[in-house]
Amino acid sequence: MSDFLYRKNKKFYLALLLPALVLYGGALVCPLLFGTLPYSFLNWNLMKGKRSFTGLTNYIRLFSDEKFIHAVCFTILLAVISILFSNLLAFAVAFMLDQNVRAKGVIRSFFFIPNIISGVMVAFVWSFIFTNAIPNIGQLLHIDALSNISWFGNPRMSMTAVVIVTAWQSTGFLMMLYVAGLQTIPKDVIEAAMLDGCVGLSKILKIQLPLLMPTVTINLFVSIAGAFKSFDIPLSLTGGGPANSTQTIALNIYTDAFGAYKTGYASAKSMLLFLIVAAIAFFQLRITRKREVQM
Amino acid sequence: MRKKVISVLLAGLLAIGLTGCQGSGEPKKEGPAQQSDSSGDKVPVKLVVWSSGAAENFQKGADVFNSRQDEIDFQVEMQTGDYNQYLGAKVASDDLPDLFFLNPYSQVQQFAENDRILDLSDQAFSSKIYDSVKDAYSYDGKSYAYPMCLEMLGIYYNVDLFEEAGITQIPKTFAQMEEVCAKLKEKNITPFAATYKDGWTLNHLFSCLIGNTADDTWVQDMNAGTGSFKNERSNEVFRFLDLMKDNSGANYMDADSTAGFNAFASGEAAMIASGEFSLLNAESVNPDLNVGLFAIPNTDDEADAKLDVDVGICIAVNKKSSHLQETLKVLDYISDNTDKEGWMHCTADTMGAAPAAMEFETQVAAQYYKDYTAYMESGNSKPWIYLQLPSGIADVVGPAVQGYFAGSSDMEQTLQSMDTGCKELLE
Repeated sequence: MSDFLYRKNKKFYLALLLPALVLYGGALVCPLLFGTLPYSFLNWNLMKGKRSFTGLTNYIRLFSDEKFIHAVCFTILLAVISILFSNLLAFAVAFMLDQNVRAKGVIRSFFFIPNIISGVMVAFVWSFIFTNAIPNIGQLLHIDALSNISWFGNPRMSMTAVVIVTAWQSTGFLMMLYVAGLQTIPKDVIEAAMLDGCVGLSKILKIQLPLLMPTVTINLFVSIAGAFKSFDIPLSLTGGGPANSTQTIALNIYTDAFGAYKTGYASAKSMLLFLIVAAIAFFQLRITRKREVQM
Repeated sequence: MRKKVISVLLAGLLAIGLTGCQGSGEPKKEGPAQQSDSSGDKVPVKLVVWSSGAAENFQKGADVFNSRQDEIDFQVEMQTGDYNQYLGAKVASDDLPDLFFLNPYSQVQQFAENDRILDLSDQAFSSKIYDSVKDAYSYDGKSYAYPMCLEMLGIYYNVDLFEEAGITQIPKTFAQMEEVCAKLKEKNITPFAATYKDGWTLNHLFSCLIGNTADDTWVQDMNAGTGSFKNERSNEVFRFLDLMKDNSGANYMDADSTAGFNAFASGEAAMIASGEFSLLNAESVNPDLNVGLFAIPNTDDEADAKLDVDVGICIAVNKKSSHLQETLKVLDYISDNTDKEGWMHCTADTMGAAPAAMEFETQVAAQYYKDYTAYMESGNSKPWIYLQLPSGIADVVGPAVQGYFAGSSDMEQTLQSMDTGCKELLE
């Protein structure tokens, strides 16, 4: 029946897609295919204005560019840690809020607030927390270890700071999706499971989590793409420092394109970033699709 | 059928609505400006400046101009983010503002070479500028920008705290500098206010230090790609960095420039290695602050310690400005040193303001200004050396020194990464 409907209305469905597709194509696909891609084969300094075709030189250079390789490593590290951290946290919070808790709505919106504040604001607030609030609390409590932490003093601590803030900001959004996902699980399935003696952790792992797989797919997808595009928080929290140790790929591209004006080279980097994110998204969709439980 | 058509249209509307949301920020901003255009028929002339504590002074200068005439609406716009990146984006979209700040030397030369800014050789200010700074804004023998002010990098010190620690002589050699730090520490005074979370402050510092030790052909060699940041006197640069690391209090990497400026102004630290701009907000923090200035002493020879004085800000005119004549009128106003109530009075005549690059009577009576004048009169000044290196070097040196401060690289590695970065810029 649905097949028949689909065939009958095919043109109508396509027409519905068209406006969004045109915008998406015009704003994203076309610039990528006709701008970034051809530029990435040029030796083009924006200020000097001279362009010359260099073939794959830009791409070859990428692999010996220590700064860029470091940025890729840092981005992957940031992605892995913050995705694990924020998804676990988001699921835990969502699970708590799925129980009978007082003032559920209020608590939920408190957790969601970080998500609607801009990354720059978040970074400034946390910068204050790291450099003023925490040391002062340490002094008041006479815990020297706490007040002597130099949050931006070395690469490791700076990375920690960036991971904490990134996870803090993204948790709220993921939590909302998990809450919505948990609510779609039919109550009778849960009740039946509980009658059969499936409670506690095994209820979560064997019943709720498998039924939640569509949400997990979306959440991982959202957070991976977000982590790889991570830009505003590292820029305003650490400025990529100290010594470029917290520079993400996006930040590295930005400094190269608009700091050193290396347009061609930065375009090559952008293409690589695009390929990385596309590959991750592709595999992830395939893997998690298989695990989804059909309802 | 009609329903379908309507729903397709709605889908289209929704999609357009999405883009509407994205762009909503800008039209709102432009709204009031356009209104004022139509009501007063004023020609808007925009000056874009980088972020600093002087923004208020610039606005005052613009207000004075706007209150004097009805023809031009002079607007000052401050860019809060990274200014070079802003310029890059504007160059990319070929949408530079009428007037904009540039760094002297290489950046002015770069914009001039690419034919983006107007030749200002025949403007009235040209004959009044101090001869010693002409290189800063010239390209191919012509003047391409107006040098708005001179800035001086050195060590600013709290005169009262120095007295308290019993320091009577300002240090002129590294050994004397070490003594000063020791005396301050004895009295439990933090010697240096830290600003090191911001890489650019370290670039300024490094520029002064290497300027004291570099020989005459070094800049040429660097620009030819044959020079190196490393030489036999590198240890004289790095021992000073070590001294600052040891004398900047706890958690010194966590303080950005704003935090450092405030710490110095409020007397939490006795010295700050920076420019006069670090004092701009000092009066609001501590009106009684008594500040002196000396050149950074990192060698054993007193004659090496020269004050870094150079053109701090150049104002360039966009060649493609749609109202060039009005823009030049604004520039005339900005560069008028006979106007006792105008731009120079507003921007160059307060604590922490950079003095004009031409003769202008100021009322600043602070100690640091007297020290600056003394250095200038005795010819004990040198240019900011990093400005003469390839454009973009600040983004190489700043993070590299930051790595040294954070302990993630040693002297060899730090110098090595600067050399690599410099070579890349020359490519």
